[in-house]
Amino acid sequence: MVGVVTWGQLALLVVLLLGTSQTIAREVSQGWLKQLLEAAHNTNFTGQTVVLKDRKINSFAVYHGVFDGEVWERVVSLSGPQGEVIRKGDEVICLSSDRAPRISARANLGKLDALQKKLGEVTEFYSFEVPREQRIANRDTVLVNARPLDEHRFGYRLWIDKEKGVLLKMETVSPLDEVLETFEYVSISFQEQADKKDFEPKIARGLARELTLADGSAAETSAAIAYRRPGWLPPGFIKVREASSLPSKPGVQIEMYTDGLAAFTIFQKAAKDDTVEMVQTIGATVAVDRAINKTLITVVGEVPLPTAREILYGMTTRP
Amino acid sequence: MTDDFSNRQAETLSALMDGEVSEFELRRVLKDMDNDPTMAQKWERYHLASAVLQRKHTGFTGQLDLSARVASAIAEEPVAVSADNKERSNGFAKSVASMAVAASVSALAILAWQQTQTPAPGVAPATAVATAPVPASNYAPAANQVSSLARFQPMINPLRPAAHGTVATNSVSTGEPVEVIRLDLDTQRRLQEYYQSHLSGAAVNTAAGFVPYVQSVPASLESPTPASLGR
Repeated sequence: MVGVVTWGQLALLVVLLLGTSQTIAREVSQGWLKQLLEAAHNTNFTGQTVVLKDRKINSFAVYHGVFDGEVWERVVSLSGPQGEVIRKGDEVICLSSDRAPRISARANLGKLDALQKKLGEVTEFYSFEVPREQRIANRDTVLVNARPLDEHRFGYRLWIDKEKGVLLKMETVSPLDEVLETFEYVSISFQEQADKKDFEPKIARGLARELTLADGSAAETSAAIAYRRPGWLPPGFIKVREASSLPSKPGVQIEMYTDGLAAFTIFQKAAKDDTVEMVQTIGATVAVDRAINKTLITVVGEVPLPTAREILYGMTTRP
Repeated sequence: MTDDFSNRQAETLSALMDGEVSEFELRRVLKDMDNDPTMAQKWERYHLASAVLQRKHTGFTGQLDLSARVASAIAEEPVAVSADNKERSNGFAKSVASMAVAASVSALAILAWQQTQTPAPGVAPATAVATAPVPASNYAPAANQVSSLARFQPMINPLRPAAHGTVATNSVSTGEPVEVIRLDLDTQRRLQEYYQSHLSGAAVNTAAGFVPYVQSVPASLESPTPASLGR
C-alpha cells in the first residue's frame, strides 16, 4: 500500500536521525573545542576561581596573558597554604611558602600543539551531546558534554564562554557519573592588553626551596637504568612528552600520554628494593606506584584506577 | 548494669566515630555489634546523624551493617584443613579468618568513614591503598585484584579509590588483613613532585588548558602530615 511506512523503514529512519544528531553534536562540540584552544593564544583575562575536590573547596586568582605570541599564566592560591604557579611560555615555576615542606618546581614543557594535532581524534573516544547554553560567572556559555566511549577515561563537562571561547567551568566525571573535580570561575574580566606585573611572583623566591623539573639528557639517564616501555596503552592515547629527569632525583624518566582531554604520565626510576603497590588519589588524579625488579614505576593521571594499574603492570623491557 | 553497659557502648561508638579507638576496642565493638543488633543500629543512626549535621552527601542509605558484612565475608573465606583434624582446625582457622576479615572490613569501614570527614586545614592525609603484590615475573594486569576490591565496593570503588586517606593492604585480592599506614616524607614529596610535573604537562597538552595549573598549586596538593611510618 502506497504511503504506508513499514516498521523496518521506521527503524532505519530513527537510526539515521540518531546518527545525524550524533554527527551534528560531534561537529558542533569539535568547533567549540577549537575555539577553546584558540582562546588560550589570543585572550587576556584575570579572574577568580574555585576548585572543589575531595569535599574541599579552594579559591584561586588567575591571570592569563599573551605576550609576543607566548602564553603567560599565573595562578595564586587565595585559601589554604600560600602558593603560586607561574607559566611563561614553556617554563613553569611552582612556588610555595607554607611551613613545610617548601617545594617549588620548574618544568620545561612539551609542544603546545599536541592537542591541536589530535583534535580530530579526540572526538572518536567520546560521545557528545548537542551543546546547550548556560550561564557561568555572569557570562553566557555553551556546555560541551563529552562522555567516554570506553572504561579507560573519565567524562568531561566543559562550559565555554560563548563570546571569548575561554573555559569557564569544568567537571571531571567518573564512569559512575560521580563528579570527581569541579573547576569554576566566579568572576572573570577580559582586557585588551595584559600587564606583565601581574605575572611576577608575590612569594619571595628566597623563602622557597626551588626544585627544577627541567628536561635533561635522555642519554645521561638511560645508562643508569634499563627503562621499560608501555606494553599496553589505552586506545587513543599518544605520547606528547618525554623527558628526563627530575634533577633533584636524577634518573627519573618521564613520559606523558594524552587523548586530548585525559592525560597520564609514567615516571620511572631505579629502586633498591621491590615494594608493594600504593594507590593515591587527589580529586580525579590517581597515582599508582610500585617497584618491580628494582625499577620504581609510578603512573599519575586522570584515568580510572584499573586503567592506571593496567598501564603500570603492562610496562615491559621487551623491545 | 545494663545502663552502664549501654553507656559504655555509646561512648565507644562515639569514640569510633571520632576515630579514637584502639585496635582492641575496635574488635570488641565489632564483636558487640555481632551480639547486639541494637548497637549496630545505633552506629547507623550516629553515622547518619553526623552526615546530616555536616550536610554531607555520603551515599549512606542506612544499610551499613558491619556485623552482617563481617559474617558474610567470613562465610566466603575458604579454609583449608586436613581431614583428620578438620573439626579442631576448622574452629581455629575460622577464628583466625574471623579476625583477619574483621580487621579487613573494619579498616575499610574506617577508610569509608575517613572519606566523610573534612580534613583539618593543612593536615590532609595521603591516600595510599597498597594492594596485593603481583609476582615480579607476572605483569598481568590485576583484574583479579580489582574484582576483589569490588567485593567491598560500597566502601572502596575500584573506579575511584578512597579519597584522601591513608590505607595500605597486604593483600586485598585474598581478603587478608588491611593495614592502615602513612606515607613517609620522601615518598610523599616524590609523589607531590610527580603530581606537579604531570599537571604542568597536562596543562599544555589537554583541552583543560591551565586548569591543571590550578590543581598543581600547593594549596591543591596539601601535603599530608608526615609521620613515622614505613611500609
